[in-house]
Amino acid sequence: MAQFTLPANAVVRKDGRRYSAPSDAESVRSFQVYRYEPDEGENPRLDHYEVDLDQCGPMILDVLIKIKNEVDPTLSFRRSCREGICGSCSMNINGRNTLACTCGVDQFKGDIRIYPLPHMPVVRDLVTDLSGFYRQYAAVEPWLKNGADEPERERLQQKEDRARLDGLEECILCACCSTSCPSYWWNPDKYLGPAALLQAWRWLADSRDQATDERLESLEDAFKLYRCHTIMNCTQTCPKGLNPARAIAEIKKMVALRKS
Amino acid sequence: MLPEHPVSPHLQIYRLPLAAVLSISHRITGVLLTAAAVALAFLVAAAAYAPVLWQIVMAGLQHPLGQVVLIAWTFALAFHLCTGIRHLVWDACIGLSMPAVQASNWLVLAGSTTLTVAIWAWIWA
Repeated sequence: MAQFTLPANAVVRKDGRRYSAPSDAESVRSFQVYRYEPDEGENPRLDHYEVDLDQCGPMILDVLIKIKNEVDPTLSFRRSCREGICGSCSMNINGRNTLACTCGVDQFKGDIRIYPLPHMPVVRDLVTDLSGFYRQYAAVEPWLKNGADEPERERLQQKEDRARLDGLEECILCACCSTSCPSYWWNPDKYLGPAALLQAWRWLADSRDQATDERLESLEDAFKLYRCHTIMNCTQTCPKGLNPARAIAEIKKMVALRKS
Repeated sequence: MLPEHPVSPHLQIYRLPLAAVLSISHRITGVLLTAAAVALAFLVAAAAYAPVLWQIVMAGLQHPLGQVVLIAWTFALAFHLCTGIRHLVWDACIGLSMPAVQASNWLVLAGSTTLTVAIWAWIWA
């Protein structure tokens, strides 16, 4: 049964620490950042950091790196490429999931609230445990299945067949979509979630793949596929502009058409 | 031994887009309409045995408060119908791009409002 409120150990304390900007700073913004340190044995809290934007890069990730380098080295978050291609710095910024590295500070007014991806186990601060998410990706068996003998060279595709994979293979598995989905929040262990289902469709849509029946049979399940109720949060939040909701609708349609 | 990982905030912090608000409203109106349909069936059955009961309910529904309930009921029905039709269209893989969804959000709201106004204009005319 879905639990709509936070359990006692997850309630966020409001009495976090406060770090002021230098007194000569001119364009100061306040950032409220979710903090959780497992060895302290205390509930998560919100820390307030004032940052001088004149002395900082333009993106939310620049702000976090500045805080970690100059103010509070205990702040933990994942980051790598800083250009929206690795998917490491996904988090919830002012209520929506996105990549901190492609999210400009200038698109918000007032204080900015930064939380980890929603409804995930928190390892520390903005770092969540994504192992369940990766297991779901593995569960759709995201590789080419073609019973034919290994060809001497690449398997050829028509241009229009290759075009069907546009908007599917660009996914960077940042988990913004799955963790924006209320259905995924309430059934994270049974529903595969939009990211894994987008990849399931990526292989169903591939003209070289021959395991369509096997793939559909494994997907046709009240929870794995049909927990999607077209809430559309996934497509709305995807930082790469992909459309997991349409991919899921295509899978449902394919199942229905196969039966008729 | 470290404590169990806390779950990160979700409903508490997520800024639900309009499409998500309409989605949960579709659910809620569905539940309410089902309950109302069952209540209506019981009422009709009861009235068959005791006509006076029917007269009491009719008097209640003609009271301004009763009219408000009926208008809300009409709107719930019109809204659930419009969002339901949108779900059918979506299941045919049509209108799932983000601009199309944002347009149909308002279409659904405008459609259910227009239906409600039209029905009540006809009733009161």
